[in-house]
Amino acid sequence: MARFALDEAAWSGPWRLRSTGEKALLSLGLLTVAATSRSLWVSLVVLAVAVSTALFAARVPKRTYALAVVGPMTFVAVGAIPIALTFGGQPTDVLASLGPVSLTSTGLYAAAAVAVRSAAAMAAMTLLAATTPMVDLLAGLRRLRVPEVLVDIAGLVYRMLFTLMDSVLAVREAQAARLGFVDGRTARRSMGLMAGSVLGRAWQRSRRLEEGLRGRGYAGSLRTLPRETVVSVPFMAVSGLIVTALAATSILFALRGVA
Amino acid sequence: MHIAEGFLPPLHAAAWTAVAAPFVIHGTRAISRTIKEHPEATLLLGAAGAFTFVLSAIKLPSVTGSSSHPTGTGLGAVIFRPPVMAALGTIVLLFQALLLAHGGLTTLGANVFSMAVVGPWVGYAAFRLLGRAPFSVRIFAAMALANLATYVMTATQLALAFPGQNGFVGAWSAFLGIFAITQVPLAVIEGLVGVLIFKALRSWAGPELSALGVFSRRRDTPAPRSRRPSMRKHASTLAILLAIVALFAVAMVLGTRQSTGDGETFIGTDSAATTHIEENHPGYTPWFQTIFEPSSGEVESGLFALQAALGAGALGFVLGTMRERRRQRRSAADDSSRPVSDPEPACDAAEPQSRG
Repeated sequence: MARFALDEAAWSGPWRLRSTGEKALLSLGLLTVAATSRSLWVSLVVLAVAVSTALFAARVPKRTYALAVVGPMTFVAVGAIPIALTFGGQPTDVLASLGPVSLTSTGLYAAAAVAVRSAAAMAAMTLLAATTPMVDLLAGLRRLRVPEVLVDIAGLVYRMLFTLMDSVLAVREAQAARLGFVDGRTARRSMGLMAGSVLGRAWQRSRRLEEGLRGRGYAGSLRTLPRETVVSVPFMAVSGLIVTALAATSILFALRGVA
Repeated sequence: MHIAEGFLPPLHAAAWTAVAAPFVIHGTRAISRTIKEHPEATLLLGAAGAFTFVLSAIKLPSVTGSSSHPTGTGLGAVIFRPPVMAALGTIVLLFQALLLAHGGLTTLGANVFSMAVVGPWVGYAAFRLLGRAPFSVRIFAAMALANLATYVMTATQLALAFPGQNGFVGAWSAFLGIFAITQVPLAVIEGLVGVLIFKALRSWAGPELSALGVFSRRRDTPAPRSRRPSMRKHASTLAILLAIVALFAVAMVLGTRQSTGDGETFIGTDSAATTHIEENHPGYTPWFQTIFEPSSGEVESGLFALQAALGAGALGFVLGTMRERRRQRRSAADDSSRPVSDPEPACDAAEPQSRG
């Protein structure tokens, strides 16, 4: 069975029964502060708040959280390297240099600021992704009047994702058992065969689904009743307070010119 | 190449979202129109979205033994057309952000623009422009160029956001250089795998793909209208020639008007750039010397002429060969007993057989 760490955490966590609005307010608020803040300190505070909320309040398993975050963090690290380095030219504040490449203190500071900001924003988004199942998010998008077509397609993508992922894993295992990945050439061939067969299966599955649904009066939309949830006032108040305080600090720092 | 959450400054993130939005809206409209006519297309698009997501979640074996994620945008663009890919790609990127924590919500616009707009359009353009080339060449070009265009666009977005001390161009080449290590081999691999995918697809999902009009356009040009494409081709050639002439005329007029005071009117870009650098940075010394310098002006112009002559020779040879081949095909078609009015549909019909 194919699994996605964040999805599993979202379905099994204690925050699943909270309303989408509450969780969206907290995490999207933190995300906005993190993405717009120019101060390193505000970013660090957002990072700490988001990570500790996810791990201690929402009780996301630590291992799951680490697994979900390690991939994107490497992207951030790779992306930050070119910001830290200066190529060619005559930079003023060189710390170390190798040929035309040099490491400057301004570059290093800029890279650190970007990396921290990015980490904070990612932690805020992970808070939402690890506590709210996709189905709830899509229902929320529907309430926000995102075009029905897109929400429908997104819902279908979510429904078909896991069976397709299973097909991929099964085909992969079968190919590996037949030495399908011994060298680059066979691996590429196996990849092509696998992608082709999986697309064929996806197609067939969608056609079978369509035939079945047409018999039940399908007219282009697969709506289900959303779960009714009660919005918790204390939760909203606390998260509103945290976000407002952080936003105010960020603005104050920006006006005063504090790094 | 996803830009991570919060990596872009807020203004840039907002600007890229604004740039990407019209394409996504256009794509959504295109999908809505299709779905109004064929409600079952929703399910097909859902399957396509799930397929794209699954494909991007598995790793692609690379030449060096390392592995990397394919973008798959070229494939989608060829099968479903770029406008649909813009909307579908947005959904897939949202899923990647929320299920795999790749990319993000604030950088969604930038990622959509590079991966769901630029990549598909470049791939699709390559696919269409190579209309006469063998099918595998078209698929390879579409997949590899879509991947490369995506990566160049991402580097551009990052360089615009972080110009550093050397300005945009310096930062741009830095980002391109860092990403090229993984991305250029990956583009080639993706092109190769794309060809294999289509090979497999043709044997397993041939009817579906023909229904989408991927493999041949014979459906669109039935026999009675067969005269029209060649006329249209002539008209478009003429239009391109006229456009080139007009472009030159405009450039001439603007160029003479712009530089009346400087004496020399048409100087090369190279020397213009050199003078510009010398003016703005008096202390600049070039850090690299040319390996070979022609011993005299005569030798230099001689080499130039040689280069031009070689190029002209190759071009003439190719044109002549193509013309001759075409003439032979035409005469072969005339010789055969079938009363074919125009040889072109005959060539079209012959192609898929030779491929399969």
